[in-house]
Parts: sequence; C-alpha cells; structure tokens
Amino acid sequence: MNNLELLKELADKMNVSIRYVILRDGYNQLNGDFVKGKDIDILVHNDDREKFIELVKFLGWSDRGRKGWYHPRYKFLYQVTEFNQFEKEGLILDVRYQLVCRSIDYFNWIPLDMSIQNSVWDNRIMRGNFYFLSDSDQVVHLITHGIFDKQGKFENEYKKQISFLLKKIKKEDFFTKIRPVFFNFSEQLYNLLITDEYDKLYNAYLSFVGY
Amino acid sequence: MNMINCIMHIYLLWGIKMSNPGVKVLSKKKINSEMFILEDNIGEAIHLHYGKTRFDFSIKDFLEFYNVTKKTSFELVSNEIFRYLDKMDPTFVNMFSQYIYDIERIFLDKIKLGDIICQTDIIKGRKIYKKLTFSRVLKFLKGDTKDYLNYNQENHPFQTNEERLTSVLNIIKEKGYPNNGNYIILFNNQNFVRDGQHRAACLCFLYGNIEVPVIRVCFKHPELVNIKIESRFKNFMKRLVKFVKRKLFN
Repeated sequence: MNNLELLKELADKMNVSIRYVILRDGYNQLNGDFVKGKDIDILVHNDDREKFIELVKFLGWSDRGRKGWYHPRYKFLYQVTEFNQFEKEGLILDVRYQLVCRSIDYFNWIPLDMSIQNSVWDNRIMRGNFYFLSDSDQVVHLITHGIFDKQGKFENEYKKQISFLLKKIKKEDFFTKIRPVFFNFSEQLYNLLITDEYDKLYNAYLSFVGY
Repeated sequence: MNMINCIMHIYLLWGIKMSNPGVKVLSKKKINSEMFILEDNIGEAIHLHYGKTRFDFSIKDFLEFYNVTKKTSFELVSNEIFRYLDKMDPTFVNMFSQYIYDIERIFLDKIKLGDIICQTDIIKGRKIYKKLTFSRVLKFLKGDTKDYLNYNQENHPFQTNEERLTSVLNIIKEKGYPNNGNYIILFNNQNFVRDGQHRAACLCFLYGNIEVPVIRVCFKHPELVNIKIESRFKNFMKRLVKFVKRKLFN
C-alpha cells in the first residue's frame, strides 16, 4: 500500500470510534504529494489512547518506542501524556494526546490552555477521509509550533497557511484562541503576522515587557 | 508600596492549570523549608511562588515590590551596614543573604594584592585555595588562557568569560578602583576573596603587588561563613567513606 492508502485504512477504522485530528499537513501529504522522510503528525484524544494503540497494532503498525524522537531531558508537564511513534512500510505516525508545545527552555512539553484542548474536539472538521483542526485551532497550533517548538523558525508552507487562515477567520476568534497562550503579546503578535514579519517574532516575544 | 495601586492577586495553587509556555524561572531556592520561585510568564505576569501561595505582579509592580522589599530587609541591619550592602552586587548579597542578620560590622580595610587568597581549582571534590598570583584570571591576563576559558562561571549568563574580564579591565583602566563603591570583599579576618577576584587580578596585572582598599564584612558568628580548608587526608577519608557506602548499599 502507498502512504495515502495506509492512512485511509487507519482513518476508516478510527472514524468509527476514535477521536483524532491530523496536525499541520504542511506538505500536502494527504493529497498524495508526499515528501520523502516526513512524518504524519496526529492528535488522538487521550481517552481513546488505548483503543488507538490496540487498533494500530492490529493493523500492523510497529511501535518505535522512544527511537528517533525522545531526549532524556524531556519532561511532560501538567499531565501531558508521553508521545508515541508508530511505523508501517516506512511511514511514521507521530502521535500526541494533547495539543502541546515546548516551553521556552526547550525540553518541557506543556499543554495549551484547556479552552483550546476542548475546542479541538468540539470543532474538528472532516475533509475527505480525515479529521483536521478547525481553522482557528489550526492557526493557533501553527503559531505555537513555530514559536515554541521551532524557536521562531517557521517553514514557508506554514507561513502561507497562517496568512491564508488569518484572512479567513474572524479577528475576534483569533484573539479568543491566542490570548490564553500569548496574553498581552497577542496584539503585537497579530500585527507581526499580518505583515509577514516572522523573522522578528521570536525576539519580539522574548523581549516583550508590556505586562 | 502603595497597596491600592499595586495589583496583587494571591492564588492558592491547588487546581490552577498553567497554560503559558513562555515561562522563565528567574530564581528558585528553599526558604524556611518552603520553595520560593520567581518566574517571568511572558506576556502575562511575574509570578512569585512561596509554598502554595502565588503572587502575580506586572513588571512595574514587581520592580516596586523589589525596591520596597530590599529597603525593608536592609532595615533589619544598621544604617551603616545598609550603606555598604546597597553598593554590593545583588547576586553576591543573595549568596549570603541568610546571614545578613548576623553581620556585626562592615568596615574599610587595606590589603596587599599578594596576600589575597582565591579558589584556583577543584580537584576530586576538594576546593584548592592559593594566593592571587595563582588565580586563573590573572594567569589568563598574563597569557595562560586555558584554565580561565574552561571555567564555568555562574553569574554572568550573557557574557563569555573573556568578555566579562575585558569589561572589568576596561572599567578599572577608565574609572579606577573602586568604581562606584564596588570594593573587593573579604569576610572576617580571612583573606579569601568573596567578591572581586576579577578586579583583584586586573589590579595586580596592571599595578603589581600594591596595597588596595577592601571591605571586610565581620559576622557575630564567623564560623557560619568562614572558609575551612580541608586537609588532603580528611578529604580522602570522606571520599573513601562515600565509596564504601555506595558499594555496600547499591
């Protein structure tokens, strides 16, 4: 099976009783334009974790354990469930159970605000065979991924997605979602994003004193 | 501090779920068996945790709180002592802050640079103290750079060792010593340098074994802060006991 077929097989089973969303999809992998070596990032509801693991193993995915992603200094704070990685026929599934990001000291994994966690499941949308984050949750996730996980480095594909989504969603919705993460920095963040000043974002955040 | 203008929210920590990933820990220590933690939560607030209580401040309010707390804590000592403490490096004062109440007097003294003693190395857990001429800082200034560049300095996170030393040397050349009341500090009747090894080394490099003014901080109970030189034999026995314990109770 090619990668898309592998995922469709998994999604067909998950869509019945396991809550999940595909994260990012920055490289249009699910449209079939695969980039070699990329993982698929997926978020599974923590309460469905055991069902999910049972299912992937049944479908022949092997558990990679901590190989390739774990660092001994990692800490999963505030009851964040440790991630999993599964592999089948060269395709790697990177599985999270809460929407998380790194803390600014890099090695701690922190869950985003509860309002965002709840919104993921209340507002997820189905496109084709798969569930994705809603537009406002996706933009929050891409921003936190770029700032915290990648320390200010945004991939071009994600910048395009953020710009597209910022024009699509209501400004109030954006601020409602982003404020629990960035607090008083939210306005400055928004202004830097709409002017595509991604290179200034990380330093602006770290040096922000308006609070 | 104007309590009406100062916004302080006191939270009990049970059940509070943190959501701010942008947290920098500014300070963390145990005080009276409770954890004291100071955090900068970017965009949100400065959090001061003590045990299960949390205080939230804006940056402006926190700086005001800091000034009031500093003034209050120094009021525990005499005005004379406060006059000297206020001029010292706050990081250094923090290191012996739990003994501030025990300070008996602080006074200006004089010492020849060659009589100053500093820590030069740590060998198998034992701190080695020698005269200033053996200081890694002075050796660096004279061209022997290896020890100093490899030394892990703790209190200047945004400067390399070399940058820090260059800065100290330039200040002494341009503004002299002591600049702005920043004296080299010794405790009690010991000549171990407690703060100011860089200044002492720079002065020695520039002017040789001259006599310089220093501050002596004298404590009612000197044994609380005095450096005790451990004999090699005692250090060896300590390490032997540790080794045997590890093997027996592994």
